[in-house]
Amino acid sequence: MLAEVGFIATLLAFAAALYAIVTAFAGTRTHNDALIASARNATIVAFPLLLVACAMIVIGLLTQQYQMVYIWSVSDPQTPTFFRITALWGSQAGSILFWSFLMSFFSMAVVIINWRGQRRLMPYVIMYTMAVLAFFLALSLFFENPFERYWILQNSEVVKSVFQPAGAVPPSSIRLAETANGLNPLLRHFGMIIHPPMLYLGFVGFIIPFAFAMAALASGDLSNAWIRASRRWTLAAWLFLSLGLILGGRWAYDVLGWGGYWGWDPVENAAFLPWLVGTAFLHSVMIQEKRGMLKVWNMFLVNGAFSAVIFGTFATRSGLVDSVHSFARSEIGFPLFFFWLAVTLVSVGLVIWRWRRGELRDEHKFAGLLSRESLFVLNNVIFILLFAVIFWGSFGAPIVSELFMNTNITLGRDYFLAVTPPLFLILYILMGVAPLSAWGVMSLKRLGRALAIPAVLAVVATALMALFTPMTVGVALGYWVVWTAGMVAVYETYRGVVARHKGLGEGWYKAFTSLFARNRRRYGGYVIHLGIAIIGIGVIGSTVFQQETQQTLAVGQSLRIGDYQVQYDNFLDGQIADDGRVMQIAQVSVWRNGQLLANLRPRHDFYPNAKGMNSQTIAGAYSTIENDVYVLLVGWERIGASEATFKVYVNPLINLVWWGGLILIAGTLVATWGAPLPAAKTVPAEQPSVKGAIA
Amino acid sequence: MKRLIMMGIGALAVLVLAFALTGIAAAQGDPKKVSDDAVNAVARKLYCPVCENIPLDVCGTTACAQWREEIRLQLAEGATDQQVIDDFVKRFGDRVVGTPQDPTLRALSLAIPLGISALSLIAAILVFMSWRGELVRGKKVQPVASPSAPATIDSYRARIERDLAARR
Repeated sequence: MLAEVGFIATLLAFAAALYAIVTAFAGTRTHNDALIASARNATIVAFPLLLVACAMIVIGLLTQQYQMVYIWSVSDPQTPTFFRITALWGSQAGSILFWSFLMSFFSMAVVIINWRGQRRLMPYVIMYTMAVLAFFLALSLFFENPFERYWILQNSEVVKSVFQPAGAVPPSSIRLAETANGLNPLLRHFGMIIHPPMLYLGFVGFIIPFAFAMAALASGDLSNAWIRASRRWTLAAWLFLSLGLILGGRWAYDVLGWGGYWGWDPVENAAFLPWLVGTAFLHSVMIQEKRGMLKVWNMFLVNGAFSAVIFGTFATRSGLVDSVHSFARSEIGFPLFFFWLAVTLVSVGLVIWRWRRGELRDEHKFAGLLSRESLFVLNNVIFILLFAVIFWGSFGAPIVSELFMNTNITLGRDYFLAVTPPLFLILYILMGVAPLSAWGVMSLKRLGRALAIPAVLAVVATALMALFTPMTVGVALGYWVVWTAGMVAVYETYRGVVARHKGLGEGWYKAFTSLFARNRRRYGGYVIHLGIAIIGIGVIGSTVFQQETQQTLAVGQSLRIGDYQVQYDNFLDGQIADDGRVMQIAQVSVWRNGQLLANLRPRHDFYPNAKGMNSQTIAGAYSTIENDVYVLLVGWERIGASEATFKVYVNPLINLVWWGGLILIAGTLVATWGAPLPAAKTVPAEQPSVKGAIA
Repeated sequence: MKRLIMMGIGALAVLVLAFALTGIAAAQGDPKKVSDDAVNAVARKLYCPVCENIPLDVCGTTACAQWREEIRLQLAEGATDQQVIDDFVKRFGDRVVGTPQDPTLRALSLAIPLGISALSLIAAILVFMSWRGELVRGKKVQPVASPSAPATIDSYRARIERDLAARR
């Protein structure tokens, strides 16, 4: 019953999406408002339908309906309730349906929120959002159907089908429960509740600015209306994607057991690429709003961000490249590839068409090399270069070498650490300088004066760090640049507060809150910059100064790493958890200068029922703002465990990465929230009686 | 006499053989003396040949543990880090290293992104210089009329307001 209801709900949502496309198109061509309103209603109705479809999967997971192939493949009787729910996005078929569900939510929200303000663009927005939704629902219906069930035919052959074939019977539920796969151990982590949904929200969120841009190109309304309408959607998508990336880093740090948070894995990079293009767009779109410039470039960026999303999805789910994330391989590679190609070609074609017609001409020319718009353009160049070198390392080189050189290469950490740091350094320089520049014209002298105090503060901060941690000139320079970017954000905010305090006589708190309330975008942006500067300090510290050792210890023995001593105290062998996993737990203590700091329990989990990847290493970590002592249990003597091997990392300043991430999120919320929505472009109708009275 | 000579040669041969065997054993060294850190320093530069993009030093599979032991043996036998890496590349191909060892592939991998970066930066500099040239020449920039230009919108709104006022 669950399978039938879920399948029919998905089918109806697919039909609603197709109906919305056709009626929106017809309504636009014939100027028929009723048809357009009908398209809007169809767009809205897709959401509850997909809510029902997803609910059927979740109910099936909770009630252990193992006859459903998807549920059999991602859960087993030992799976805790919590992970039964997150298993909705634990594998290919479920995650595609979940993706469609989130997309339908965005589509519904945009037609509700922007309907009155953007009447001219909305039919086109409906067409593009529903076209994308229809494509993903088609994947669910025809390639990766999460509602398929196992059936045994009369000739004992086992087949998968949503509906019961003639004469077929369902397999024994006891046998199905016994053989169920269980969730991939790597996905049994708290971060799984929120990391994939955030990433998916970020991905699907970019469909809204893309749809508005395409609507502007298709309708010919090339004013800034599409930018005003999509600005908050872009920020929301960027916020979710940022959150997804940060949580993904934390998940990798906790679960993958290699002492780091970013492995330059192709699939990690696939999620990072749209973030880079989206960030470039968020900056360059300000130039179009303020100066009416870079119209063509902005179109390319917003379309590029969505194209990168689809490419990332294709790369993740097609098995295009080897990756630790490639649990979700399937036959959808080709459809996704052709969809990506079509999206990219159509959007680029539309931009070029409008461009050649002269409808995307800039309204101003650049007035100075140090002007804010020039620095933003340079910032865009660097973002796109980062995109290019990361794309090349993740996909370009492996594909080119395999296709044309008959060999298979991997570009890993060495490559990325060689090519990306100079570009990131330039970005941090621009992050410090650009906010101090002015629109239009800016002199070097004025810019230098504005930069002087933050730069001096950054020198002091870097010198203080060098006092505690000896460093090379290059590292000190890197720290100084990043500190300067952060200090500019703090100092500019401070100047604004002081100006209000002195000029308007406001108290400090009132001056601070009023400053943010009056210009959320600007000061929210400063908070984001501060967050990124703090992340930068954490990244430099944890990359350059990371210490690592691996040693085998007998019970009672200890190893030394940096200022720390890690002692092997005891071993708990074969502990059985509620979910059936077998845990080998080492008990270790961390000491510094003869003082006990913490007792840690690094462990190794083994999942007896899981197929394929069936174990994972969970680190024990002692965290402070200064650093993390991160202990992994690598091996142990099978009998008695009188000796065990530990890998220990000291990761300086790594927690700043997470704290900086939180500040970034807070800044994005400040920049996104609270500002009034674009006013509806309508005028109240005059009352006949009043008119008559005037007459 | 002949017998004595033969016995002397035989003893010498035994001695030479004993020294040779001792020498080989000494040259091979004790794998236990190669620290885990030394093994990981090499393994970190390699990727698991059969897993998916996982560095060899952190890969948890049995196969990877055996490959790490192989690195330990090779280091104990006196191989340098680079020799161990070259051996793995020879056996499993360039996909086991983070940057290819083959000079052509390495050049292709690194030169292309560096070339793209250099060209893009040169292009950006040229564009900036052309803008500067326009400024220096004092070329007057005419704003392009557009629906988004505030002045245009204002005048349009004013006209609508006038028309509406006229109709009242």
